[in-house]
Amino acid sequence: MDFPTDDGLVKAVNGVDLSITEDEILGLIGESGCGKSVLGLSIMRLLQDDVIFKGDIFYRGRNLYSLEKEDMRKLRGKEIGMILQNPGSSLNPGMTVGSQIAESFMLHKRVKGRLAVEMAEKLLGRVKIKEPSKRVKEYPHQYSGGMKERAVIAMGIASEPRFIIADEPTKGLDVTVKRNIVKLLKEISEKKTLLIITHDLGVAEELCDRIAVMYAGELIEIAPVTSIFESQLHPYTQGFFNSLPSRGLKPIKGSSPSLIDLPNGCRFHPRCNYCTNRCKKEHPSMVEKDGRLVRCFLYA
Amino acid sequence: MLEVTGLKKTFTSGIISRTVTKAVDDVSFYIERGETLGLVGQSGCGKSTLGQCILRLIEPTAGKIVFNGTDITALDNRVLNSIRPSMQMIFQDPDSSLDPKMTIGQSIAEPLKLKGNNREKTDSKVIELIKQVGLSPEHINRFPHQLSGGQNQRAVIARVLALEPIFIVADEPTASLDISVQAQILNLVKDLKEKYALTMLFISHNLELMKHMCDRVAVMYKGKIVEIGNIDEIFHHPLHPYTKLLLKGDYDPETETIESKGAKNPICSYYFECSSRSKVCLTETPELKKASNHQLVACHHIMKNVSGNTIQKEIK
Repeated sequence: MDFPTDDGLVKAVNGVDLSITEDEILGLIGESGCGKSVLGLSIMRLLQDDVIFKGDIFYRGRNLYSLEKEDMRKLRGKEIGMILQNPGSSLNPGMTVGSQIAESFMLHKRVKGRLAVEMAEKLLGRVKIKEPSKRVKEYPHQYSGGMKERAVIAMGIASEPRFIIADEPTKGLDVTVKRNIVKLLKEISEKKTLLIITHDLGVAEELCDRIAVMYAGELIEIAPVTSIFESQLHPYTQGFFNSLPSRGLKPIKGSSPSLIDLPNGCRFHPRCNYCTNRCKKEHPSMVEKDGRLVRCFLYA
Repeated sequence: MLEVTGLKKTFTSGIISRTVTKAVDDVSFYIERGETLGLVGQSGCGKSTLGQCILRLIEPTAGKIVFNGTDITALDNRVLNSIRPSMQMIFQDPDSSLDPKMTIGQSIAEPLKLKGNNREKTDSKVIELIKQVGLSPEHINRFPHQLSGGQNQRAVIARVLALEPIFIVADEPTASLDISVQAQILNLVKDLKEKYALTMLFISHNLELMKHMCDRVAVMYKGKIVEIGNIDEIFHHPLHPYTKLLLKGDYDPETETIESKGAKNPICSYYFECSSRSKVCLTETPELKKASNHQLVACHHIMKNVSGNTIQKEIK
């Protein structure tokens, strides 16, 4: 996934191979600018037309990138739902929350006006918004941050999609509110497949079955959630975990590379403590180690 | 170093039906020289307003602020301006606290020029500061939009240090930064605090960060300080039900909230979410009382045992 810009080609997502099995919750973690949101949007085919895309994305045997635009639109929302990040700006400020959610019902379930709003009201109750009959007629600015997030979640699950992509669902929320949102996500995730994009490790630990770590546009480690919280294989994952306040607040030296001008060899080598000459020249590929995948020569 | 007593800030809105929001409601605390006090609470609880009131960036409605021996509550602007350099603030969002049309170097140089330094001295000081916060001299001629959030926050810290303050209010300095950048910035703040023997008020909603940064913590809820104490005490023996919730969080306030009869305006603002509420909470203000040597808590249900320091929960 490359973005042409005035400064050059931004290589946002590079050679990502990822599969999510039915009913699984996969967490995609990484720092801002590592390409995780782009990956999420690319599954939905929501990126602008001038983006250079190579590769295939299969959803239940269907190649999403060979579908007609019209077919893709039918799939979007109905089969694959998306919970967008930043509910403050992904809700339309000029429409009541109820009618925004109702739109999805009108489109996918072909129900008319009042019935759709009634369904929206029911859904607001399901995402635990108090007094849904009153709230359904209100505008986003009358909602608190946590409630907006709930409304966005309601929109994402409106048409009962089987696969949901949640992009930073807890960003900018308070500790207590965050916990409630995580709880809600857990409830809705039953019998559903989820891709949760986050940089909050606590959220990932709570919700996910498997974790994929992304750095500078590529996946560098994929492991089951229990084992990755016990031990991290890739030096970046180790550094990422160690910079958590609860794990000692030890930062990784340096900063993430620009996606226009990526370093040769391993993308993490300028910041890595185990860097060898080989890391500077050769680009490591994913290798298996104890049932986990890692992109590092230490394990090759 | 800093003593705040009975600080209040209310905002009024509306012309016909006036509503009064008590952002900061009768807050008293002190910070000793060289100490870092943490201030935690949910967004909207008034912690940022409190931070800005202390520096008089927002005029408090009532109360008294004594900074370094001087009562600054009623000082006029000219006198205040002579004190301001020694009390500085690091704001939440580094990108919006730097002037987008000024280079990083110009931004850092501005306070130095205002202090009356000549050009040469200013330039050399800028380079010195830039290096101290972990940026390199090549960043001097860059604009804020050319740098990352973490680098901008470093520049903001350099600008704050230019005035040689003795007291800093850090208002969620890492709220918009990534985890690994957050760790870098916090370590930098910590190092500089040691180096310059700074006194600090550290505002955050993350209790975990407090452990690393602070000596004492004040917990704020709806404009009031409900508990204040040493970092170990707060973490190991939290007393106020809200502090316990922040630390553990094993229940859901949104579903457990009940509204009982005649309890429309309980005096204790935590009433509706509290698991140990009782009648007394409706009628009497819980004062911030001493629970042990260094720990104060505002709750009717935490009573000090007469015989010693053991704390007992009132059984209802």
